[in-house]
Amino acid sequence: MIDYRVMRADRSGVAGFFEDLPVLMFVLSGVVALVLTSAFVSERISADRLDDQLDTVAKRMVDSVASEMLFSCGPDVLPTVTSIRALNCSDHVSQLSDGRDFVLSVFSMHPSFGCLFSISSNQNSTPRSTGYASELLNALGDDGLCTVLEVRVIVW
Amino acid sequence: MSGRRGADSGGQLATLDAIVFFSAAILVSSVLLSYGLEATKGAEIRPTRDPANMLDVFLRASIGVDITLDLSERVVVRSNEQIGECLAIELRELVGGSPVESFLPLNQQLSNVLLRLCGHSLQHRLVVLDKSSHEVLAIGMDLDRGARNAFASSMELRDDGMDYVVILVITTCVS
Repeated sequence: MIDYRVMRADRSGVAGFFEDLPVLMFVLSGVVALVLTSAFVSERISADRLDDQLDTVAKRMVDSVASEMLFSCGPDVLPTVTSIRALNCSDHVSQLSDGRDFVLSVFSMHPSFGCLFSISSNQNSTPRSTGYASELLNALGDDGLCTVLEVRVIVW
Repeated sequence: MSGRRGADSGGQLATLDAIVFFSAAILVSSVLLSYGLEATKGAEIRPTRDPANMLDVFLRASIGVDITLDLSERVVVRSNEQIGECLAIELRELVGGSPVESFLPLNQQLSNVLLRLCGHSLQHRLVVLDKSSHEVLAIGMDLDRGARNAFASSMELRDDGMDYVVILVITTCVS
């Protein structure tokens, strides 16, 4: 004697399982898409925010160093390249960096190109994100020409 | 049989619901993705040079090399002359009727200085306008009109009772 009720129930169970698979697939795919996109976007936004913070730190360092250079020969006097070279601003710059690693370089851009000097931190950390700022300023060269110098800072 | 039919239609409804959920999830993901990419794109267009700082420093700098100009008489511009002063003299001569070709070596040197200050990733153009906004002089590259990012700064230049507006435009080379 076969119990048709039990068999029918079994068949329904198996069919129900296979009918649910596409449902499960669609739901899981949707959830995965949402989670992945949210993670990607939040990662990008936080990276942008970190870039902005680093840019702000770099800008603050550049502004401070450039103003220190501009007043290296006194107010209302054009600074000389020699006085800028003699400036010791490594401690001051380290304080402004908020403990971040950095490289500060001063370049002569015109009339000749060359690096005047460069200051850097110990550079322990690997850069994940970087901030950059630069500023141009005039200085009197040794040959009597009004040169253009550039202060560049990279922070990470 | 009627029970089986009921189970089937329930399954189809569930699948339909899942497809609707999936479509909504894809839609929300696309919106999120476009927002995220747009925010990143906005961060990329910051200029690496402040045009106001650049224009100010440029006009105060020395010309850097001796330049001989063939005007009504031979004029030698010394290397220690300020660019702003050279520009003022050129403008005075141009307004007086001298052809711009006479100042080609000077303009070439000014363009070279600007190129050195901008770097090769930026295009530059220096335009000088008179009081009636008429273009008196233009130095530098022909800017790409399709350029997405253009930054400009202007300064007043006064010479011999005449007022000029010097405008520096820089654009990123990638449009």
